[in-house]
Amino acid sequence: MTPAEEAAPRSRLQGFASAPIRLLGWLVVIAAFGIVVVAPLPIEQQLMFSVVLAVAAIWLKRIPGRLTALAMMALSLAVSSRYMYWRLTETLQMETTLDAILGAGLVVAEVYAFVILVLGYFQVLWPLGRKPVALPVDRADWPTIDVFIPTYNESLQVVRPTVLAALELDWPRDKINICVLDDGRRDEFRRFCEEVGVTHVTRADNRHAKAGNINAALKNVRGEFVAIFDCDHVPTRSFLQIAMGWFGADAKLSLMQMPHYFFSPDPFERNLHTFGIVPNEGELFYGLLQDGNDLWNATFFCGSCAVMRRSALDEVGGVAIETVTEDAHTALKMHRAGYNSAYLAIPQAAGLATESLSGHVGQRIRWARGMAQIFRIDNPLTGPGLSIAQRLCYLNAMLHFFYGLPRLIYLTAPLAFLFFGAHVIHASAVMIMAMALPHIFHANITNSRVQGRFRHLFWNEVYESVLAWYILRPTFAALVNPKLGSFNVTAKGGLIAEGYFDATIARPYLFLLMLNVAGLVAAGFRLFYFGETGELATIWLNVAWTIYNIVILGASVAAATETRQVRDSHRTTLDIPVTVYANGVAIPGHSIDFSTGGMALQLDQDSALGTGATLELGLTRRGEERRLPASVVHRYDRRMNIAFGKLDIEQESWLVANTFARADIWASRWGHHEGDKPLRTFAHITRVSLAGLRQLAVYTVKSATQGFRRKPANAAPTGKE
Amino acid sequence: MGIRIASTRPLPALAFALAVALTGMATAQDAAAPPPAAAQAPGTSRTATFTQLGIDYPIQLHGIQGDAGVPFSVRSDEVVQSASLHLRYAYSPALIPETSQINVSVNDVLVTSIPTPTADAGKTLERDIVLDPRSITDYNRLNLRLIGHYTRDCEDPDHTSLWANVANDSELTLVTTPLVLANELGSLPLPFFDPRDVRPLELPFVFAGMPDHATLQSAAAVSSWFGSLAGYRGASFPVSLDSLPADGNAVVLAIAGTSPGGLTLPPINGPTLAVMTHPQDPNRKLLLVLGRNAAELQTAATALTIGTATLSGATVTITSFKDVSPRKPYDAPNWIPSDRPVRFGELATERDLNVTGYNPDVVRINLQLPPDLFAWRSDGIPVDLKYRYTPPQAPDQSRLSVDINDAFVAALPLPAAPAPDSLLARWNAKIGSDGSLPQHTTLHLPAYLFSSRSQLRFHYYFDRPQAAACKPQPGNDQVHGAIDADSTIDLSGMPHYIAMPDLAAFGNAGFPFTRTADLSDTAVILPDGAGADDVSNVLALLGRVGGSTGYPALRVSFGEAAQVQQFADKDLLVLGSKRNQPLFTQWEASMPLTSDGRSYQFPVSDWVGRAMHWASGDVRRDDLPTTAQLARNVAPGDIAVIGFESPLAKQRSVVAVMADDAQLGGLFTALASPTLIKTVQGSVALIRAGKVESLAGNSTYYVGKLPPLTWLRWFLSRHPLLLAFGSILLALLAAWLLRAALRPLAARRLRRDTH
Repeated sequence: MTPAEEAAPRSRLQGFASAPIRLLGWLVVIAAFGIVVVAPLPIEQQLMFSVVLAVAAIWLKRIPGRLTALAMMALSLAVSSRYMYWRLTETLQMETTLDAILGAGLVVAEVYAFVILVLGYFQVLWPLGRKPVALPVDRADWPTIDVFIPTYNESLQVVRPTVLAALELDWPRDKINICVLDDGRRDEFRRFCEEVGVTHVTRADNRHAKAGNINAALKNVRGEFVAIFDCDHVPTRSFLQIAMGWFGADAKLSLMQMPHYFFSPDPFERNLHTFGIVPNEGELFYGLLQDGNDLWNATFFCGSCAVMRRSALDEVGGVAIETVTEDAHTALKMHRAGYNSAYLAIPQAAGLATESLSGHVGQRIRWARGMAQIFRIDNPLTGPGLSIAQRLCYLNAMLHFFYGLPRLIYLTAPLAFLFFGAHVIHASAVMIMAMALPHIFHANITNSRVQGRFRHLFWNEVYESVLAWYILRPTFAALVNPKLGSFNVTAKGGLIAEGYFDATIARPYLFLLMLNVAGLVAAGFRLFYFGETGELATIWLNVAWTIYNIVILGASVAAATETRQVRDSHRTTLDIPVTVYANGVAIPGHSIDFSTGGMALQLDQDSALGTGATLELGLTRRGEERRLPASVVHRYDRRMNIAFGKLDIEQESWLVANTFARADIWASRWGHHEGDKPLRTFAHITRVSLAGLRQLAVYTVKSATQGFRRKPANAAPTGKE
Repeated sequence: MGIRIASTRPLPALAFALAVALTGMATAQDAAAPPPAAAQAPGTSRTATFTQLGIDYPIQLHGIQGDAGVPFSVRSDEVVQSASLHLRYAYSPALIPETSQINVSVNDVLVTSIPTPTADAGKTLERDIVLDPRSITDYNRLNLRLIGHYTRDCEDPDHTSLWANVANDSELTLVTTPLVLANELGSLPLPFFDPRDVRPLELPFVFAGMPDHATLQSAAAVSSWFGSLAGYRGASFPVSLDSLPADGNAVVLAIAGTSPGGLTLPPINGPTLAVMTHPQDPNRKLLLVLGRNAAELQTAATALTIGTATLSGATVTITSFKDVSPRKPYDAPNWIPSDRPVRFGELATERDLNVTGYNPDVVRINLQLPPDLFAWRSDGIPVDLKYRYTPPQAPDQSRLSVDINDAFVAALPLPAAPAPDSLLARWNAKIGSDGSLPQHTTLHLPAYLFSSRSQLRFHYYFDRPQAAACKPQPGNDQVHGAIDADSTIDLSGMPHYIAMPDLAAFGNAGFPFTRTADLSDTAVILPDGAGADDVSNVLALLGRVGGSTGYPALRVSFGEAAQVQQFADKDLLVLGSKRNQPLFTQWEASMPLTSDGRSYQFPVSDWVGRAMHWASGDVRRDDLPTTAQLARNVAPGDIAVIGFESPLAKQRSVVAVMADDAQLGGLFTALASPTLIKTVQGSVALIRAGKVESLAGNSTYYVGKLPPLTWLRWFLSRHPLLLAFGSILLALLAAWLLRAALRPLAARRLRRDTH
């Protein structure tokens, strides 16, 4: 359904649904909801009830359309509320202090998960699916834009394509001003900027890092809008034309955010071999959550790939500097000031994903810490200017990062019984299963339906398990004192020359893994020695939970097994016509993939070019062809890999314009995952986990003789802001 | 160590609020007053084992001074001529014969001291002891005390080798002669019922011919009144038509102008009550309930049962009598009121609530609860408990244990007193002037532990300080415990709602008939051509009902199958056999069990019921066998008690007592036996040869009312499918409403400014 169709206000049903009828409907729903939540059922009846609802959910999942998705959310909410009501009213009579302490922890984790579940549903009730709006026909009416590319310590190699692509942006040259905000104050950068004709902006100090960098630059420019790209986010040429239309359509629009697309695998994707198969960690956010936020006018700024209205930004005092997630905080301030934000789920820029897991972790720590800081100093629940929906969306974005403690509790909860015999839930194992399984089932199947294309089930648990320990401290430290802690930089563009096991980063979950395995051993003892004492069901329940935890932790371990990354330029599939000129012969063909250093080609005719042979690659754009020097790296039949020779700026620009800057290059690769198939997903994750455990065993044996290999020096973060 | 003996709490005084005006007291004594009893009457001998006297376990005597008492009583119309005791006992070989003995006393007068020679130690011994009849009064206590010593040096008073046992089949034999009493209404219910007599009451009823329904109603009032007096003893009322029983007390109900059993009635000028000497047995009395018509007879019966205390003389004629107002549901005097918190003081005397000693007696509070309390998912029955005790000198294991019957509920620690020198601490701890430490707590008694007759027991366990060798022990009478009479039990939060049929409720409490204590919602349907035995059965059943409520069945209706329609809005008690009770044929389709005279049949197939049960989540007893599991031929003497919903009205119950002949002795034996009555359950109880087989029925119905929200939760809990499909519909409705709300919102978000 297109948004236009969805927005069509009058269907027959809606005509029938006059306001009083709807009000009555809501009253019925609220009253009936209350009854469903509090109606107690004996165990058999609870099972029957659950089976019927489960079948209903499976049936609903197969029917496409927003109505059934909403129904699934309502059903899941009812079942989970029912569970929480039961959990909070009937299972908290703890008998011993140990039970009480451990039980309280689990309750806290469950309440947290429930709140996140509810807020999550709220956020994605109706993803807006915004489409671009055309710009005025007369180019003279187009506004002026400053394009900011902030950089700190990234190599010029990384920044070059971004700047060159920015130069290719389709916007009147007199209305665009490209600035490289170089906090590194490097001559190399200054020379490059002068060479290509963009402004090189520096400042005297590095206060407030990226936010300060942008704010300093803002003082020197007067464009009506500011577009911001991280230095490794290469925009396509159509970026501004797509992004800017809505600013004309909505005078209060202060921010247009577009997704961050990464053409290289992130550490999870690389180490778990899921690149292109399983939606990555960011896809849920950019594919669904920001789009869902958009309905509530709660899309927030993500630091890059966004355009902001200068007047709005000035009104809130520029980019926020109080927290380390200046982006979200700035958006919050603009929302408070009464401005709108919007989101277009069209990838119009692409960048490199964080290189190593440690770098990735560092980045997430920063986000978590920053969100906790905002939560503490500018809590979205309080303060002026926000609608309730905006408050809830921001709340969810911030609460999300407090998953550290709950996740660790889930990963250890069954051990309370297996080790100490503590009964953390005051109910029989059978009753727990009858109540909790539907709760878990509905939450999962509903999320599988709602998020399926952007997040597969269980992967979330892997992502969170890896990060839980690391974000635990920063979030709570920030809650206590928002000024604590240091600024973390995200390493990108690194190279992993050799595979290794990052034992340092894996230490927390190795420990958790050991605990859980010990829990299984303890369960064995319990079964063997106390099997007769009637807690069999409880033992098996905890065993199943522990095994699940081990699967998740196994996958986490696998994620810490850094896979060798051979090329320093990431290959991206691309099919464009090319011509190879060599020895006075022109051979037509087309490209297979490209990187900044080379290209793979499929020629239409045989050629005799051998390895090392020089050639010229002709790339055509707007009817004009330019030739780039290259040499053959490898040829097999008509397939040929070439490496570019020394390119001048013109040629490099030409290459970027023909590759990274192509308007349609990323759109076809993003958000096109198949829907989730939970069983298949779990089988996959189990395979990944087993592989991780096997690798762990290998490394353990190795380390027994050599010690864990140190992280190779050339993988050290080169860093950027 | 003393033993604990179930004390028989006197029935609470019947509470009634009515105006009784009695006039025309007869002044003349009965002309035929019997001569004083012949001096040398041979006397009747009666032997009772200790078990029959209420000691249902062997008596254990422990310690240097262990006591046990056996209560026995003598009817007021008897004089004890001689008494003897046949004791079966054994004692510890460790006892030193010179200093040890077992003392037998009656009412604190020593009868004999039984030596404990080592030669006979450890064996079961028997001994006949003659008791002095002069020391025996109405209520007596036979006391057995072990004086035991195992060493001449310092000894542990609680040493385990200090023991003696007395078997509970030891016998007490009393030879009595009758004592002729005056004809005095003022002494009622004596001699017709004597609380000193712990045997079941047997009181014949005499009618002039087969009584009509109105007469039966009067008889029912009288029999249920006697039933309520007899209480735990049970009562039976053999019926004689036109003849007087040869001997023994009897009740005569007659209308002026008739002469039951050839008896000459006194002149009747209105509702009349009289006591006269049995013409054939000068030692026995007749209670005459008389009137010129049925209405007057009823008035006389009501005055007898409600206005007993105001009667005096040999004959009274009741000239004006204000009608007794109908009872409200659940206000039976014997039942714990369920509309307000009830003080313990209303349920037990102050004396019963206080105990003394290191092995104190148990504080018992009898609780007869309405059987239809709906305890589903309630925390339990709240008890606001206040208790006091002598605080131990140092913290120890002393505690107050709370039980319902034999089931444990809670053990409350009895903390030690704060240091006595700290006045402030004493004040803080609210130590009473008597040195007792008051405590206050709220207990929730699990409702499932209660049957309709339960006993709440409080047992103080005082940790006895270990005395140093040869130091005097703290005196036994220095520790006290008391349950405050202001403690309350509160049933008011619990609705009345019960799954029927529930023969347990019928057996224990006469439910549902007893819902109104005067049985105003009850009709008894007699078999066609009912005879004396049928009437006797009805009176006995109503006697049991009276025993449960403690109130006479003043408003019970009687009828036959042909008139059943006019009782459609009542709970029905149907008696008879397949032959003489047409309803058993008419209602076959509704009854969970019928019989064709050769075998029992089950009209509703049971597996259907089971399947429905699972699907609909019927909550009912599933621990009983179901009708499908009973395949039986009819045996002569079978009594089937069958409960089912009345085919005439929803929520009305029928209890059918089906027996081929009118001999229901087996039923009454079962109802009177504490062990058998527990097996009367479900919807069918088949009594055969002294055994009870109970079966769950197929169709459950519910009687009573729940608050709407409780009802909804209860209803849904039994209909999970309804809840499930309701939830799905709810989700779809919510989704539709959300879509209706979100779609315009999305459209608004996507609207462009028109500038």
